[in-house]
Amino acid sequence: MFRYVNNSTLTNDHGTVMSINGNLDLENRNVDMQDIKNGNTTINQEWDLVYVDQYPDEPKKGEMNNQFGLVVQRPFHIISEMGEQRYLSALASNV
Amino acid sequence: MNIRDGRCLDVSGNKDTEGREVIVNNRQDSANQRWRVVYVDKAKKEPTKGLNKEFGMWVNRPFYMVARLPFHRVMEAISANNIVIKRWRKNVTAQQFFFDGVSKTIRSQQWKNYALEKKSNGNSANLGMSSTVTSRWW
Repeated sequence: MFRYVNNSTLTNDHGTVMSINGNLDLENRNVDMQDIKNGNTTINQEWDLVYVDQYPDEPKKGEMNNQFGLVVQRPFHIISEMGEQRYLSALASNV
Repeated sequence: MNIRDGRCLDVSGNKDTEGREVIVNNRQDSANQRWRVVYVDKAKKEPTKGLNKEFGMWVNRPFYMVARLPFHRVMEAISANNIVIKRWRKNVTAQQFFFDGVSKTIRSQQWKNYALEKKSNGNSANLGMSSTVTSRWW
């Protein structure tokens, strides 16, 4: 039996919470149940419960992706703020 | 209570689990021996929609469980034994879950008979799913 507590944790009756194993933000990473250490949750134990009818669509081409702070599929330069204001250039796999 | 010997109905072992046996036992006045008689015509039905404040979830309203790690991946049921995080994909019901107001479990929108539970094999603390009502685990 789970409860969504303090708008952040999914807690069972033993007080353990759903956690991303190893605190690794990787595709296909397992979710398991872990204790809360010293009364404080870690970020891998915190979840937003977003109802499907309220989930925002992924930003499309030309729209700002607020999560990453970049406009989707809009080419850009990356310019150094040092004196010469050089541009990042890709030389094969080296930058 | 049995008026002949004073013994009363008792939830065996004081364990609040689904399918638990009820026995007749000496009176101890503990919570597992206290009962409420509710007449059928007065019984409240479990809500089939709206916010369940005790559990913090809306009943029968599908949701994503979104991680707060930087990529904001969502939980996905890849099998009954495994719940993992993956990138959000539109209309993928394996990434959607709902709170069932009757069983008080979180169920998969794709496999609606399956509820989230902690897998109990060995020392594993993995989160998985089960189709049995005892997914109301303790």
